[in-house]
Amino acid sequence: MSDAVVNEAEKNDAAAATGDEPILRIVDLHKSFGQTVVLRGIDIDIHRGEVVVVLGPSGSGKSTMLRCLNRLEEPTSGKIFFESQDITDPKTDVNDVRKRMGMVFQQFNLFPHLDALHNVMLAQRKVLGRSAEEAERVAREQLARVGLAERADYFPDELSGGQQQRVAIARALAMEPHVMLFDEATSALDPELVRGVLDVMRELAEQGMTMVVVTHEMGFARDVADRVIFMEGGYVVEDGAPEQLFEHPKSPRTAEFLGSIN
Amino acid sequence: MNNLSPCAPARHRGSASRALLAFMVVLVALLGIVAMPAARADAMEAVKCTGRPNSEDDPTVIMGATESRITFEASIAEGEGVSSLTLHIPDGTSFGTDDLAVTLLTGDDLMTRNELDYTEKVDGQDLTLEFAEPITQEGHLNILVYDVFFPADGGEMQLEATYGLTDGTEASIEGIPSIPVEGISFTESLSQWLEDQSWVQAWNSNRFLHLFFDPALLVTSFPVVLTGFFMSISIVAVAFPLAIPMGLLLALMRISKLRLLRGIATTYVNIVRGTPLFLQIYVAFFGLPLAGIQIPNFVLGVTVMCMNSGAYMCEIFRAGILSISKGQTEAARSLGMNGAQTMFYVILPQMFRIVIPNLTSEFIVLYKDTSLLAAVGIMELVMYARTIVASTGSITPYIVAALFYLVITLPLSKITRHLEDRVRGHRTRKHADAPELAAEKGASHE
Repeated sequence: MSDAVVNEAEKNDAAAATGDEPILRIVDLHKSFGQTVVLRGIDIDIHRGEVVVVLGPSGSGKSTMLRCLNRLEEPTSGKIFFESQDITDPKTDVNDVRKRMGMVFQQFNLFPHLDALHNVMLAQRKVLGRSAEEAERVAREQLARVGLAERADYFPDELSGGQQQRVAIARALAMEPHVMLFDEATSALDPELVRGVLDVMRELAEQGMTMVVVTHEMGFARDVADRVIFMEGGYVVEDGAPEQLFEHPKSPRTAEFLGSIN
Repeated sequence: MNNLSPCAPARHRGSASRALLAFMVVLVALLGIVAMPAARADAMEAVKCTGRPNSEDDPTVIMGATESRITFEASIAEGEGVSSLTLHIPDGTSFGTDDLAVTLLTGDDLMTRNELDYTEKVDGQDLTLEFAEPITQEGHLNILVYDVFFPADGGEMQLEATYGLTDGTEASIEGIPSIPVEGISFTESLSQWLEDQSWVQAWNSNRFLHLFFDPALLVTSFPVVLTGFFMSISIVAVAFPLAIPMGLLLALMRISKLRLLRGIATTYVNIVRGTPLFLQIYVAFFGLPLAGIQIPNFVLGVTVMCMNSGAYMCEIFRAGILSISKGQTEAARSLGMNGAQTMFYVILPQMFRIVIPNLTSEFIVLYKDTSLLAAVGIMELVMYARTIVASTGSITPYIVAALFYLVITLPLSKITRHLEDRVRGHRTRKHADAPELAAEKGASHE
């Protein structure tokens, strides 16, 4: 492992030791697309090691909120602090921020011209500057972690949706991110393939990864989440522990939403 | 030649020494004149030895493997008594004896033709004439040998001749000029052979077939048009690879965030695609020299083709880039790759796979469009075909040129169709346990 990575890890430990400083702090986040207002002032603090599941009906702005976190969408106003750094500041090197944040997409977005191994290796080489040997070692390690060691030389179109999504997770993990963002990672999968992906995510949570998960999987939210956030109409409607939110929702909107799902 | 009297009195008078000197000079001169004919009194001399020109293109050229005629003429002195003559025709040359013409030309102006009674005998390349009466009359012996076909390779044809006298002596005729014969190619001889075939003559009796598909002309046009083919191919072979980076650069400029770059590229592409290539060629070939810029034709031709094709490729590449899902960019950027890295490692490799069919079509268009360069004198396919058309009046060379285009374009369009299928479908599978997915995806496409 390179020195840079070791140093990064030490820094994490140091930050974790100082305790209550949130790894991600969202302050009064607004986002509009032209005339359409999607986020109307979001405030969320996420702490290191926390698994936060974001629920909400479609159009509630949860995906947009998630995409603002690594600036795939530019916030209209408000601030986002990631490891105490204001990432909405125009002077911030967004690529430097992104390499510490992994993201998994609904549509997997594997690179179709590369096999699984090289999908996982590409950014390691180009962004982290790792050697081919180092990148391949890490890639094989991460592919084994998601249960796809045997599929390293398969191209995306030779893999099932679930396998593709697990390669995408391995690709993000290979960058050794401090936070993982999951944007409806299982929504495009056939029901029988959802399980494998959720298992990988569950394992990741158990290993202490900080995760922000936008999903419709209530089971996952109930079992794995440390906190559940319910969003609707561009607002955070409710934010609490899963037992509290699922069993005793404070807001009638939350109750209504949960009722419509179950 | 020897018609001077051997006796000439000294006409000079004056001082004795001058008279003596003059006398000596005259004497020496007279001795010389008298001595020469005396030495050659019984020798036949070559007067001429020629072949009949038989080239359709050049009225002075004698070509090999094409019907010709040898004219041999030698002088005979009074009372010489030539009883036989043997002509040794050069090896590789065939000749006929059916129409042999042997004449003795006599009289002051050699215009009197005397038929000779003779028998001919052929032994290999030797043609021997035995004269019934030895020739004693002064004159020129003229022999015409017909149905002569010189070797296809050509070269200097040197005839040899010997003659026999009544007293049994034999001598050879010296100083026979050689006949220069130009070699002809395989295709020319094939074409000549074709012209003699009855089926070809029947074919050519149809006006349409003769005009468009004359077999002999097909054969002779081939090597000539082939030269043009190489020129056309080398133009595309240089212009096309150069147009790719140019098109790519223009495409990247067109999708750039910088308005200036976008503006430059858009203007360029719109002008080039909005005007005929023919006009662009004219502007470049006639405009630049007027502006004092001299560029060799080939270089200028390649440049114009490249600049034209670059604009079309720009649009191919741009469409290819835009057709790649936004998710690819987002995935790459979310991993921390910058815009350039995303473009070069993620977008462009996928783009190239998508645009290969369109790029192949562009190659076909470019190859065909090299024909427009004929208008400004670049010796490409059509230009060569046109020169033969101009000299023969047949359209056949254009048909040959068409074949040279098709030989490239037909296989390429077939490949294009194949590639299009592959782009729409999937890569050839290397894993045997993956095909059920392909079937699934294939079904969902329908």
